[in-house]
Formats: sequence, structure tokens, C-alpha cells
Amino acid sequence: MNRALRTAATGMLAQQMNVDLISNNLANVNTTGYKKARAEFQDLMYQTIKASGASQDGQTKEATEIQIGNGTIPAAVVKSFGQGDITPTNNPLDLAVQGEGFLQIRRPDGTVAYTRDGALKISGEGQLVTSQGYIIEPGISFSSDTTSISIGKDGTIEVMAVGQTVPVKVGQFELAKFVNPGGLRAIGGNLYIETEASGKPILGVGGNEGFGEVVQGSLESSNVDVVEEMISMIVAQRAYEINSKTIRTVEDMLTMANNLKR
Amino acid sequence: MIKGIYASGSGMQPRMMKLEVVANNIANANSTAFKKDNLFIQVMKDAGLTMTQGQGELKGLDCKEYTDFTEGSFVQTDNPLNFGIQGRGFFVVDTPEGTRYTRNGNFSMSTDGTVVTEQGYPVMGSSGKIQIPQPQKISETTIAVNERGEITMGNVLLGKIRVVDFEDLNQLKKAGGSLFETSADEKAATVDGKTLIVRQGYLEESNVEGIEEMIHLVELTRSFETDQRTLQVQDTTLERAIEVGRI
Repeated sequence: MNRALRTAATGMLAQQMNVDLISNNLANVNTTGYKKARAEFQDLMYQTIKASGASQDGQTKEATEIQIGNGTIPAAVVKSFGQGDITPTNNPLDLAVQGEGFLQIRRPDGTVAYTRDGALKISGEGQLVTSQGYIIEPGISFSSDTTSISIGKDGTIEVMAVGQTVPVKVGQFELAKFVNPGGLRAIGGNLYIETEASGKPILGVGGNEGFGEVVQGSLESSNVDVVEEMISMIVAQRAYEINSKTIRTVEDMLTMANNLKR
Repeated sequence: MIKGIYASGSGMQPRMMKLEVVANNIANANSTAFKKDNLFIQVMKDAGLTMTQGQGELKGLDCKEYTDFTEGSFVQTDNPLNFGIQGRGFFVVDTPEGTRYTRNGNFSMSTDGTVVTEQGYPVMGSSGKIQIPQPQKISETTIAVNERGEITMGNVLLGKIRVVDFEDLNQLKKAGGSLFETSADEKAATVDGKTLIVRQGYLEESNVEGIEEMIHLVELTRSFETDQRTLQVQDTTLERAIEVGRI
């Protein structure tokens, strides 16, 4: 009897987590380069109450057995790395990646993080940095006499200085892609770090072998679909509700059992 | 009279068990490819007989569990490594405990290019594990799987996802984690290519129906209540009988 209570509790916990994820997706509906997450659930282990074999009437063999499950468990949170919409911003320092590649960011501790958010800025020292001030690989500095910056599909960065007529190449962005991008760990700030599940980054330049192309003057919107999230929210809420009904039923039946002896 | 109390009491026990089954269905209303269970409670024909023969054991009701393999609805995920099987059939998974079967086609590619389940178990193809050569060079989006389960990249055939079917689905036991196991030797016949339809980019949802489970809950509460009331009435009657005997 307590098993039914615990089972319903696992169901409620699972739906709680589902709503947590949905609310995070919805909260990030306007976050540049955000990738939506989806929860996957699986059934827990089963307890065999009655094994198959001889039946109670002794004549026939019972083909089926009675197995009672223990509820549900969140099996995985899957990040969907589908392309978000590319929105033009007309800011020459805004980059979007059309394709699978990630931009590489050097964090203050020296490790490399990966991002799809290409809203870049120029720091006081003239360095190309992210909104948080992290340096983007390969660390590129601009001199104070730079008038225009152009970035090609392959990530080539060319600058035009005052009084010059020919642009000069100052560097090139290298994109990273992963065998299993779903295995990347999100660390906030639109950044991801590699894990054992994601595998080592595969480096390449834009336009090559599915790395995608670098688009200057655009940003990638979040790939959250509001309608889809709303539907998931309704499903999650109803599932939560019906699990609470199970608990209510268990309680009612326990009360009745207790009332047998007056 | 006492016999009647036993009968009512024995009606209450299987309903508690059935509630556990219903609770598990409800908890898994959102589990990928979950198959709901049902518990049938039936009256034993010889229940009265065995009791009068004084065998002592109460056999008023018998329970039979049945897993409903009805197909769940398909939800589009657009993940190229998500698969749904339309119609009968199971994917074959190689776990450390042995071969398991599942309809949950939420797969991913491990770093060495093996197609694995959520738990990391390799998914079997028609000839062993499915290994994508040179995973570093390809992107998931270029992997195409047709309705027959054949995995292709460009024009190159990389393998075929193995899908098996069982003549008698009742022999399958649930092993948790949306996996099924069978105690019988694997006599599983590979489904004929004509009938099998693998849908890429779809996942099968749980086949639990909220309304049905709510009806089960109501029915369980009420039948439990009926037995409880009947038991109480008999208790009251017995009490009166005792009072009659008192001078």
C-alpha cells in the first residue's frame, strides 16, 4: 500500500522536474543562442509478486506473472541543438553560426568553453570579448585606428585601418563541433563545456564538413518554441494532478481499512 | 457469517494491489514508450469448495496481470537519432545482464560512433552493434534512416537497425528503464521488411490514458468501499447475534 504512495510520489517528482525544465526553456525564450532542454522519463524497476508457473487450480500453467512497478525516474535531460532563427542585427560584432559549430571562449581560468552566442564586444584594451568579458579564441586585438571589421563565412577577420584602402587579415575563428553535442554540459552564461559524453571537440573552419558558416551582423535566437512548451506544460500539470489523485485514493482506501474496526 | 467476513476481506486485498499497478501507470504517464499494465481480478471457481474442505487457505479471488502493448502516439522530436516503430516490433539492446528489448528509440551516438540507448547500452543492428565509421567526420544531421531501418549516410549503407517481434507478447517481462526481457530462448523472428516501419525523428509516447486510469481509481475506491461496508454490516450482525445470546 505504501508502495502506491511512493509510486505516486515519484510521478509527482518527475513532473515537478519536467515543469522546472519547461519554465527554464520559457524563461530563455529570448536568450541568444539558447538551446531548449527536454526531460526523458523511464519506468523504475519491477517487483515480482507472483512468478509464472503453476496456477492455483493446479490444472493449468499460468503464462503471465504479476509484476508491480515502482514508478518513474527521469532518465535524461536532452538538449536539442536544432538551429535557432538567425536574426539580423546590423551590428558588425554580432556573429551567428549557421550549422553545427560552436565558437570557442577562453575562460579566466584558462579552460575553453563553447558557445553559440556570438554577441561580441571590444574591451577597453581593444580585445574581442563576449558580453561577460571572456576572450574569444583566437584572442584578437584591434588597434585604435580600426575603422571597419568584416568577418567572412569561414571566420576570417579583416580590418580596415584609417587611411588604408585594402583590408588586412588579423585572424580567423576556429569552430568546434562534437560527435554528441547532447552530452555537452551547460554552465550558464550561454556557455557549454565538454564532457566524456560529448567527446573531444573537433576543430575546423567555417564552411567545412558541417561546421556551419559564420554569419556577420546577425544573432541566433533561442530555439524554444512557445507553443510546444505550452503544450508540454499542460501535459505536465495534468500528469501531476492525476498523480495527486492516486495519493488521495490511497489515503481514502487506507482510511476505510482503518475504519473496519470501529 | 465468518466466511462472509473473509470473503469481503479477500476482496479488499487484490484491490490494494491493483491500486499499486494503477499508481505505476499514472506515474509513467510521461515515460517514453511505456506500456501500461492492468490487473484482472477474477473469482476462483472452486473458492467455496476449498474453504469448506477446510484447507485453511483463502482463495476467494485470483489476480492476473496483463501488459497492454497498444501503440502509444508518436511525438516529433526532429532528433535524427530518435526512432519510433510503427506497428509491432522491438529494438534489440545489448545490456550487461543480457539481451533486452525496447520500443524506446531515444538513441544517441557515443564518442566512438556506437549507437547507444539513454542508459548507454549498444543498440543491435542486423549484424552486431551499429558502428558509425569515423564519427568525427560526420554530423548527426546527415544520418538518414529509412522505413526499413536501414541507416544511410549519403549513398553509403552503414547498417540496419534490428527490430524483432514476438508471437506471444505475454512472455515479455518488464525490466525497468523501458526495457523488456524474456526468459524464453530468443526465438524472436526478425520482422519482415514489408511490414516494419521505422520512423526517424519520432518517439513513441506512453500509452497510459488519464481518463482510463481515473476510472480505475474511482472503481477501485468504490469496490473497496463496498467490501468494507459489507464487512461492517456483517460485523454488526454478528454483534447483534452475540447480544441475543446474552441474558
